[in-house]
Amino acid sequence: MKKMLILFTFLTTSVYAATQKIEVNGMVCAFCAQGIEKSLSKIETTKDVYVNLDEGFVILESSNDGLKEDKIKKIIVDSGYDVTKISLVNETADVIRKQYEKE
Amino acid sequence: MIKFIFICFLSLPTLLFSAPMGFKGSVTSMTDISKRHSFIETNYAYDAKSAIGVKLFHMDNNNRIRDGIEINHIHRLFRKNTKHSQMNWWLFGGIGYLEGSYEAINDKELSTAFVSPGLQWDYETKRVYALVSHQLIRGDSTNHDTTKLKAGFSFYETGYNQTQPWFILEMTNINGITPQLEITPTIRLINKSLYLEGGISNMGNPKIHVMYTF
Repeated sequence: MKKMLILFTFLTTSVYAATQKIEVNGMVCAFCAQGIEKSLSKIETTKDVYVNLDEGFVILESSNDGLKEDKIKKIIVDSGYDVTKISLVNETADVIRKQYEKE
Repeated sequence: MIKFIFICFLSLPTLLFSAPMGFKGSVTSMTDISKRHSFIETNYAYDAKSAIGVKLFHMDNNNRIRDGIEINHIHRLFRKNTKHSQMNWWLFGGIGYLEGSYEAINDKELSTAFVSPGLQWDYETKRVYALVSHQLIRGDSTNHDTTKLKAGFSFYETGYNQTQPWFILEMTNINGITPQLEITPTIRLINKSLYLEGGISNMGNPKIHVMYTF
């Protein structure tokens, strides 16, 4: 029974987890970009946020099938930036973080 | 009274701050400490483009002392974001009250209401920074109009979680307080919520600027 519960938990989180890559214009310093990280982290479904200043994107990992694009755009605009593209990616935020921090 | 409030504010260790404003819903606090002009300010960004704040300041050039309190409003008039840069126009202004000595009539006490409208332009990339601002500070027999220019570069690019060092040259003139252009080479360190600048001016005055966003 315990094994079934673990398997069920694993399957449901795997099925509904989504990672979105948000390409952002104007993100030139960490002091300014922290608003994006703080605002996205407050969302209940957010599992992880990774900000990459060098390439100008943000990775949002959610526990459901992803945050709606209009909500993401509103959060980014309220933080003072512009969204140029939102796409789904296969990796988790942590995997992407490790990829870029290795370089 | 204003001096008392100012000293109380400076003695609060959690009050650190200084940038025009943060992201929507954030509180940004800043302080600038130098021989001739010090202030402490906190503002709240009630939407993505506007913030309301309170500022306490102290000016002192040995002959003239000013202590003031101001309620101000900051509005982002225009922002242009590109992949590698950001450019802003800011409009700000406040109303306040200041006290000091009135040299023209033998150091009689001065107390006056004042207004302080101003305009700022700034431009930033990951390696270059520039700012120009001019603010009027006008009251009865009082003119402390302030002009500020800042320009500099970062030594290298850093990741989001790393501390980025910058060299910034700051030029300031405060009418009636600084006798000429005060030039201060500073080192700026930015690490996410914390923004720190420090330097020594051409007049030998140390200057520290700290800003924190909550």
